Amino acid sequence: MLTRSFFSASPVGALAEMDRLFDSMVGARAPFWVGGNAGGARINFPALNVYEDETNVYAEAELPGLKLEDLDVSMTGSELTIRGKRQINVPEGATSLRRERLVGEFERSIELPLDIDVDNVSASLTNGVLLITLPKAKTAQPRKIQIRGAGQNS
Amino acid sequence: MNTSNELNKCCSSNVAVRRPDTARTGSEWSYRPNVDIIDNDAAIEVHADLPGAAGDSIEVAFEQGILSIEAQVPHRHNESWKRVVTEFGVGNFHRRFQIDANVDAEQIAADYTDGVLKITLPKSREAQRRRIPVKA
Repeated sequence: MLTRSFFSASPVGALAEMDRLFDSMVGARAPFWVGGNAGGARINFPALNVYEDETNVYAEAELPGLKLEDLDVSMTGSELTIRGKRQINVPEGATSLRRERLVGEFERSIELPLDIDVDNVSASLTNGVLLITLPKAKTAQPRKIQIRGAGQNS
Repeated sequence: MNTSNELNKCCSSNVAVRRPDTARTGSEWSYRPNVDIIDNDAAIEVHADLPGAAGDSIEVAFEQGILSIEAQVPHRHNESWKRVVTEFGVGNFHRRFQIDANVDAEQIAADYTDGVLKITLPKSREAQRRRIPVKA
């Protein structure tokens, strides 16, 4: 994380932080189930939460400050790739007192362990939360098997 | 949105800024948003990442030099979804700062766009840096 403090740099006095209790995020940050960044040592950004139901896989990422045009979501086979860029400009003459938000370009790919109906993948961006809906291919969906009773034979 | 008189909605804000006269009760377990803070001489600007927050739940308060940010993040998943991977937690946001600059509390404005909260704290006149011409 890009965490730097600028206590001494402030021309107007210290901007002391009141609560250091929640210094680290509480959520479990497990390694990705089937993939991650090719680079290995790099941090996985954006972090992803993945859900599924019978018909879809859902991948969710927090990307505050980004607009749709800053993002590129693509599928290659069963590999999902999220690319993007976050720009933060400090106006000329202004002093940075604290910089914690990540800036720059990012790319993350994950391999999905099942077939996806690639033509119908959709994505939405709401209040900085990206949600990608990946419909499972028919072959990957659970199918009900009709069981015929012995009496129904013939 | 609550429009009781304890809310001081600034003209340039889409987020309510509370007057510095209301008491704060204890907050629940919450996440600490990442912030950038800049000083552009006329004002101090706080940019806080609050992804997924409900715009009308965000509360910004400035009281005795302490700026506090609180935001509720509504549940956004269908009950039938099964968790496969969890790399980040989702919950409400809360963070406080002590601002030592002389701020014009009545003119604090806040705006929430694309998951980012921008708070502008204009400095009172006497706190603004003035260039003194030196006669040679």
